[in-house]
Formats: sequence, C-alpha cells, structure tokens
Amino acid sequence: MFKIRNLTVTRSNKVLLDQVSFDIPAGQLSIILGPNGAGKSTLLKTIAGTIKADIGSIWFEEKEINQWPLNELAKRRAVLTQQIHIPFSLNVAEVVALGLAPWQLTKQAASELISFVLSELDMQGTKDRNYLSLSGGEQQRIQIARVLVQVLANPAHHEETFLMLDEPISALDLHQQQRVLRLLKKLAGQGIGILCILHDINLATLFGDKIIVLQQGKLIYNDTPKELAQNSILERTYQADLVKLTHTDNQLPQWLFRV
Amino acid sequence: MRFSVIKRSPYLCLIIAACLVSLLALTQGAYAIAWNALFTSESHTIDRQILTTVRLPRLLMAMLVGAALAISGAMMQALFRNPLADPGLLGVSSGASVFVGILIVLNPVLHTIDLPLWAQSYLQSVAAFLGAVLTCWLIFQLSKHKGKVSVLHLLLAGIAINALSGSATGLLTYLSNDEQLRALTFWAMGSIGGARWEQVIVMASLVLPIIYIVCRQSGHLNLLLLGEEEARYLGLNVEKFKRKLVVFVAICVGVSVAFTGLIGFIGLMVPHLIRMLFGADNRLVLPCSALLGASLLAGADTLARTIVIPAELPVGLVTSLLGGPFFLWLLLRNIRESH
Repeated sequence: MFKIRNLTVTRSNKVLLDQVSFDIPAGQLSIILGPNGAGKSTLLKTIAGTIKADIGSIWFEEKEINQWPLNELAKRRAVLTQQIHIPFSLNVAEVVALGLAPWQLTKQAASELISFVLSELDMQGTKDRNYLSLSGGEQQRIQIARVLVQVLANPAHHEETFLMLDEPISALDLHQQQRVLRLLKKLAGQGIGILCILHDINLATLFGDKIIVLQQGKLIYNDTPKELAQNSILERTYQADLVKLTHTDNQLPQWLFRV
Repeated sequence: MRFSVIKRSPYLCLIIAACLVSLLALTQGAYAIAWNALFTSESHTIDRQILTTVRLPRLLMAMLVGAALAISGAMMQALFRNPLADPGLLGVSSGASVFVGILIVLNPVLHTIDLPLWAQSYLQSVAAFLGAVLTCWLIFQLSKHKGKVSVLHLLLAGIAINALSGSATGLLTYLSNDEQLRALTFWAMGSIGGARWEQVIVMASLVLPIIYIVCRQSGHLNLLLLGEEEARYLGLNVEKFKRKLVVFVAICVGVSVAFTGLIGFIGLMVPHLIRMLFGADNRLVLPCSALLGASLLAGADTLARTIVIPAELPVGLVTSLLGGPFFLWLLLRNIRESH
C-alpha cells in the first residue's frame, strides 16, 4: 500500500499540490480525474519519486519512498509517463524488454513474458517491427507493454506491486481503450495496485474501483464511482454543462454534454 | 545474402576487418614489408626494426584512438538522446587544443627553461590532457542545475566553450610566427605519426578499462533512450551514470587529443554505421563501435601515409574528407525522413 500524507508541492510560488492525502491500496484500480492543470501529472510524478515534495510524505509499505533503493523500487512499481519519444530505431521487442532492466531473466523467460504481454495488448505480430514505424496508438500500447512486463516479471507473488499510468489510453481507439481498461481491471483483480490518470469521466466511473478528483492542486473527492454522482462534483470541478444518466448494465453514473 | 551474414555475426566480421586492416597497415608504406615477414622469426632486421619501433606502435595507437573516439561518440549520442551528438560537442577537444596552442606559441619562452629532453617530448600531451580535464570540470560547473547535471545545460556549456576556444585559438594563430602557425595548423589536423610505445601503454591503460566498463553497462545506455525520468523508474541512478559517462568521454577524448591532435568525425560516423548495420541496441552498438572505430582509423592512417609517399597527409584530413560528405548525407536523410 502507498500512503500519501499531506503532500504539498510548490514551484515558482505556485502551489501545484495542496495538502493531498490518500491511500493507493493493492488490488484496486484507482483513477485520478481533474481538469487541465489540476496537478494530476505532478501528483503522479511526486508519488513516483521524480518531484520532491516540499511538505508531506509518501510511504510505500514501512519505508518512505526516498528511502527505497531505486532498483528495489523498480521491481515493485512501474511508471508510465506521457509522450515518450525514442530517438533511435529500436524494434518493438527491444523496447518492451527495457521494462525488464531491473530483472535478470533468462532469454527464454524474457521472450515468453514479452510475447504474452504483447498478445494481451493485441500487438503480437509487431515484435520485430521498428518501433518508430508504428502509429501513435500502437507506440502507446508498446509502452504499456513495457511497464506491464516490469511488474509482471516479479516472481514473488506475496509482494505487492504497483502500476502508475499517466493517461495510458489517450491515443487509443475505442476497441483498444476497452481492451486496455479491461486488462487493467483484470490485473487489479489479481492483486496489482493501479493508479491511473484518465480524462474520460465515463470510462473512469465504469472501470475504476476508486475515483480521486483533483482541482487546483487540492484533493476534493476520494471515494467510489457511485458516490461521484452526488452534489454535482464533476460539473463543478470541470465547470462543464453536463446531463447525468445511469448506465443500464450496472447503475453507475454517466455524463453527456448538453448542447 | 552477404549482408545477412554480416548481420548475424557482427563481432566476427568486425574482428576479421580489424585483422585485414592491421595486415595492410603493417605491410604498406614508404618501405614495403612482405606480409609473410610478419610471421617468421628470421626476418630481415630492418623489417623487424621498422615493424616494432614504427608500424606496430602506430597501428596500436590508431586503433586505440579510433576505438576511444567511436565509443565516446556512442556514449554522447545516448546521453544527449541525439544521433548528431559527437565527442567534440562537449568542447573537451577544443579546450585541449587551446592549451596546446598556448604551449606552441609560448615555445620560445619555454626554451629558456632547461627541461630534460623526455619532458619536452611529453609537454604537448600533458598540456592537451590538462586542457581536457579543465574543460571537463568547467562544463560540470556550468551545467549543474539544482545539484543535477542538466543535459541541456551541458550542451549549451559545450557550445559556449567551443566558441570561446575557437576565438582563443584564433588569437593564438594571430600572435604566432610562421613556424608556430605551421605547428598549430598541423596539430589541428591530427596525426598518429609520432606514436611511441610509452604513449601506447598510457593510452591502453586508460582507454581499455573504460571500454570494458562501458560495454558492461551498455544496457543502462538503452534505458537513457527512453528519457532520464523513465530510466530512473527502471531503477537506474541517472545522475551518477551521467557523471560517469561525461568523465569517461573526457578521459577518452582528452587522452586521444593529447597524443594525436584533433581527429574529427570518427565519433559521429562509426556509431551510425553500426546502427545502420546491426540496429540501435547499445549492448551491440558500443562494443561494435569500438571495433569499427579501431579499424576505420587504422585504415585512414594507412591511407594517409601511403597516398602521397614519401610524404604523409594528416590523418584528421582523411577522416574529415570521408566524414564531411557522410555527415551531409546523414543530415539530408534525416530531413527527408522527418518529412
């Protein structure tokens, strides 16, 4: 479990995160929502250890995050940031294999794991293709594959592992969005803790076990998707004119634009 | 068909190439030596003498410098995540050349000091190395940003130091007399002509361990291709690794420049050729670059000293003549691809 306590990040006199506290439990898909500039990516990077918090602490199990050796941490949590550009032409298998850097797998075990993850993402035919020749959506799926092999290579099943993803489906078509979110849900069901930034509020409520809403660096909501419908939280946060519906399959709230 | 053989066994092909180049380098020149004389113990005494005192140290020096420059190029390209980066980019070699320029121009003053002969012969190398180390230190100071080495600042510092060194060298050129001018110009064109065994030993003891260490850690360079932040998430101590790379590049370039002057384009060209042949995985690019760099510079040096017998072209001129058009072609290809 990750415990985030009282996290405050200030840069150039601007408060990016303001006393944010919440938990990221293992085995759940937690989704962060919020308008542009609300501090979602800052929050993810701070939890991942890239941005130093001015005040507050992040605990992973019994240790603070900056007490963890980098290579130990890399075995327990994988992070996918937005827009990764690779300047040289590696092939797809080589890019995915970068996720195995913290591990010492045999060639065969590595190859099997990479094939398995690529097939889960519907990319099995691309193993030998040049990464740079792929479309934006395909590249995004390869990057997802890279972080997935990083956590799935962990042989110790009693250890909690975590995935932190910054808008992992932003370039994907409908079919692939559904595929990736179903896969994430399945992985959460198997015990992996997932923290994921999304833009689509409807997908967030359908797939998330827990929703976290940020507004101007403040955490204003941390609860189940069902409760999100109350008090017009989303309408106020996004300042959008929306109409609320209920999904017929599972009675979860969904929103549509008003014209 | 032939190409696929090369692709499947890169090391074997590069080692064969290095052997062939060595054979050429040892036998060809103003004084031709039959190739079978290399392998018999009762060979001509003059042959033997030329081989052991001139050709062999020169060949080994060319190979070491070629390997050092090429692997530095590969390191820089991964560090800057830019295929156009080159060991000269940091300004280390131009910083070294300023020091050598000062030494050449100050030569009349130095002659009044009674230095032993051996010290005089090393003076230029020592000056170049000091220049390289000082430049490296300066670049570190300039590029430190909130306690971290910022690659952008590293690049900007390199550009500034290159510009400064350029004008300092210009000033020295302006101040020098005809003889000094000639020495300056030839030094800037690079030459492996004066290679001696002592220099080869110094070069090898610095460069070979670096090549070994970097090749062992070449997987880390692959992580840097994703970006520094991502490399960190994969468990790499990025700051420490960047520092190590810059120091390694400074040593490789500094010691190369110290012994052979400025030799351009090897660092840029070789990693590219390797990537085109065998792909961009640094676990292959680094060792293969060292091997190809060694062969290429030994070949260029052989060409430089056989093309205008009994005179000799500066080897830097040969590599630039080969490298200039290659660089242009690369640039055009990059532009075309990005369209």
